[in-house]
Amino acid sequence: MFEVLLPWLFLLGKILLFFGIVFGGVAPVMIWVERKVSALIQDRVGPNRVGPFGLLQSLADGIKLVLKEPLEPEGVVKPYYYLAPILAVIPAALSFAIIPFGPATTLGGLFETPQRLQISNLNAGVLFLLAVSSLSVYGVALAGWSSNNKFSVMGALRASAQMISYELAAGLAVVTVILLSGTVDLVSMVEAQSSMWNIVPGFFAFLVFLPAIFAETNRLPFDLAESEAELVVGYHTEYSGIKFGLFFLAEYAIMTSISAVCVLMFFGGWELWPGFSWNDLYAALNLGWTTEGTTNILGTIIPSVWFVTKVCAFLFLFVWVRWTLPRFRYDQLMSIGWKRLLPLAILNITITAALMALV
Amino acid sequence: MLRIIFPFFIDRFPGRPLFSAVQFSQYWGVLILALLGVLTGVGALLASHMVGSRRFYPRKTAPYECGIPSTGADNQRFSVKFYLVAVSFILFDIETIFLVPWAQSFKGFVANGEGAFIFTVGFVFLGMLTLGLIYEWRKGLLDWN
Repeated sequence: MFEVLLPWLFLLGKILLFFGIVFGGVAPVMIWVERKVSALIQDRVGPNRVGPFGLLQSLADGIKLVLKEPLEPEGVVKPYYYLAPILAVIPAALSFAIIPFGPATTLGGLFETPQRLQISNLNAGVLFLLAVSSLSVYGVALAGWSSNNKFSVMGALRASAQMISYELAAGLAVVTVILLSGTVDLVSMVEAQSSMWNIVPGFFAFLVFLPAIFAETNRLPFDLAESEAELVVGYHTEYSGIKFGLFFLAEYAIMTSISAVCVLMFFGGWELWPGFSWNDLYAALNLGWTTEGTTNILGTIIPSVWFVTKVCAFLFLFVWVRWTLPRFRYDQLMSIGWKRLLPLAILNITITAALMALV
Repeated sequence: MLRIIFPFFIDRFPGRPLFSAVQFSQYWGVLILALLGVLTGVGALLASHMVGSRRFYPRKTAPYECGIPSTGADNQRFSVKFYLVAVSFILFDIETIFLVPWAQSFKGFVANGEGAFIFTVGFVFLGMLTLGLIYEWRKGLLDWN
């Protein structure tokens, strides 16, 4: 009986761990970090009243958002108006499905063969994430269209056009990484980077990918969708209370999973250092551990924590860039996407392929 | 039945099932995550409807327009550019997806000494993609002035 239940328990455990950490931990903490770092950069104090260093501010805000009246503005298209925030959350939740958050493990000898710390080992691999992140356009477009507000319509139009434009550049950057690793599977990609992280041979792919993910998550300097000076807040102008909270939550969750993918594709995932793996370190220290965690589960946990640290560094970059760079103009935004990043990505694929075929 | 619908696939990979059970079972995780997402969304909306305060009056529910009464329809006509961007996105995105199997099998071809062949195949395809981009560029489709 236990043998049959074990894979299911493992699956549910992974899902609850990931979902709980991202929706219940990373997103609220990131909102706090965002406000603290913005305060730091603008020479202010930031939230400091609720809990130590204001850490519980997000929790207090969450409770406040639920307790706010569920305002339904006049003239909205009701089914779509309520569907939009839910449609924004679903892709955010789905995007965790293929992200591995540690090396394959036996969980301290619980399993006979090492199991992947990944919710679903889909054969589509990283393509699944591209597909899901495209789906988040639906929530944005529906929210703007159903809101009966000119700012919302304009914001939704801009957001959709921008998200799909930069999706191309991001997709082509991913193709370069697939070319370098010869696989679409994220775990195999990490394993292929054990001697050399993809950031070195795929540096130009990274240069394309980084602005593309900033634009896809609608973050500054590409947050034309909600440029407050022009459009109030864009597509969610008419959303208040927890309905706005859901959009906010989805934004931070997508940001987290995209940072994780960036780390997995370019920065070696949970690998310790190029050419020096965790198993080498354990052997050098004579610990008798492996990343499979057969003898000691810490052998798996430490690489996972290292992976989370890298993701946090990326999340910090998101915040840092947001409060440092000014916003682009809309025509600049579209021309960067189509006239700069797209040709650069195509050129990069050609050169990478040529080098790989010749050398 | 599947043999009739997908004869090509069945003949192409003899002895290999069309949908392998192992691969299919991986989608349970995706399904559970989707359900959790729906539950989060619906749960949050319901909770707010149950515990949230209600003091509606007409002015409060008016659409926001910088404090003045809203004028005109919200769904006004918008630039045709947005539509053109969407169309060219579909074209280029499909071409990107076609590049993925090429990229994935690239290393294998190079290892077999067929690197020049696989590179040429990809180069011709990428060249067509680039020609499309140049055509759009020259037509002024990418200008937003």
